[in-house]
Amino acid sequence: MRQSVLPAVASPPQSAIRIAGLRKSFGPVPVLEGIDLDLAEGEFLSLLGPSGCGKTTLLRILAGLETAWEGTVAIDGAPVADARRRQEIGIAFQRAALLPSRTALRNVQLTLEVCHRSGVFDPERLLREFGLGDFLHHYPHQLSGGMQQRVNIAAAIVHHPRLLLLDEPFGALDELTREALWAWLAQLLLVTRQTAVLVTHSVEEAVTLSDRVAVLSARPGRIHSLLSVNLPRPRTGRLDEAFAREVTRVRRALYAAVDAAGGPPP
Amino acid sequence: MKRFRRAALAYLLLFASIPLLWEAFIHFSHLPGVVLPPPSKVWDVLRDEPGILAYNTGVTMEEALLGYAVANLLALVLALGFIWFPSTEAFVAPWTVMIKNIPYVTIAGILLITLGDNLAPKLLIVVLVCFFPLLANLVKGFRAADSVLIDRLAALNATRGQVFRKVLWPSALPFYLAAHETSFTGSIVGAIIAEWFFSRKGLGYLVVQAMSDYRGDVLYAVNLIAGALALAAYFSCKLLERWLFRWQRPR
Repeated sequence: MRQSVLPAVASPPQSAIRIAGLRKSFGPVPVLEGIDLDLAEGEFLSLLGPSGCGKTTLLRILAGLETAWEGTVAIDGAPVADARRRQEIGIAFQRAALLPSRTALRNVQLTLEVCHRSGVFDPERLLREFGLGDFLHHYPHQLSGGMQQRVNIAAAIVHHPRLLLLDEPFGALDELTREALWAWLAQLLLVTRQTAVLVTHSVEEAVTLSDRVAVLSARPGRIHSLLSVNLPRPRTGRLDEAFAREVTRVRRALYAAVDAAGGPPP
Repeated sequence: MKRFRRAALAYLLLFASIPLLWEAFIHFSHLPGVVLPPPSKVWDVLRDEPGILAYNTGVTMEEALLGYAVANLLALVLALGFIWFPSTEAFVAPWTVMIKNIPYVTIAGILLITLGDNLAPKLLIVVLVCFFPLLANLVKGFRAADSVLIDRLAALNATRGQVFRKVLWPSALPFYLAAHETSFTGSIVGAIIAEWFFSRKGLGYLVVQAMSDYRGDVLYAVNLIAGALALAAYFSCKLLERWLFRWQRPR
């Protein structure tokens, strides 16, 4: 894959994404309130929170699929619309966004058909590295859920976007497949070094993948706490005491966020 | 393949048994030849006047195909208008509801006295017959497009044309084909009805003429031709569907 181009050590860490004073409401219903976030280049951030707290809306604002009501969102110092125009955003949703009439390979190529970026991955090689070498010419309905999701993520990163947005991509998968894909994604991002934002309901998932976890409180969504995950990579030892400690710490923050908003939603 | 061969055999039996049943029926019912001519007489018509029949078949098919093309174009443009500019639907829908619900045979009389005996009123009738199922199915198909996929392409700054080609059209295709199957044969029916009303040529005109002359044999010959055309249209739809959805078949 891409040769990693690490920034010189002397330069100060640059903000890849800067969100300031973000507010958003759907009609009279406030969804997000006073969101301030800075993401460094290559950082992996998870958005965790009770359902209906606006995590997905925040992600969609970053993708340019929703507009913010108030506040600013900048990607590399420019508005989201600019990043979108430069096709620097890749997005993968919980449900794999694949065309049923296209093979795995042609579904990944679909991204490149609408892209005019240079320095993209070769779709065939990418799928081989994703362990799908034998399934290039299979149709989505012939693939398992885990395979479909790998094709989906391949389609989201094949144009080598600066920013990878993941909306519960593993939410619908079984436990073992999910854990295997966590390890696989973490490994992938170590190589591609993309800035990534993940929306998830799973504390384990957030701890396994993230540099930082933003815990949102419910309606309107506010950042209740911002936690750094202090674990060395690769984080394979899910039975380790250190891992369990981090999971407990994040889970405690999540419960606190739920309590602060007046208990779990009905 | 075995299933396919059995289906072919069933059709073969159907076509072989029709003349046999026909002859048997005449033999037992003692109906006069004017009312029910024997297959041999119908065959004579087909053999003796191929030029006239071919010419009039050509006229009918031209009207049917041209009208069908116009109906398709119109349905596609309107369906995309509904999807991309939702307010157009609010303004156009009452018109489509009204026009659709006036029986087109009554509109035909108006078209005759306003437009006269030329191609235009016949095309209009074919369009009236074919247009509405095409429009309804296309709109339904476009609406059935995967919103997640559309979002993914939107995040890539895809153009409207790209979203149409890559997502909307593939998703509308099964719906479109369902409408195509009924509308394509419907276009032939529409053309014949139009000729029945006002024409000096075409299969519909042959029917009117044969009726006034009490030529049962010609009527049956025209029926055979019209039936063959409609069947050919139907099978062309099925073949197209098989080819377009070949990816769904297990390999």
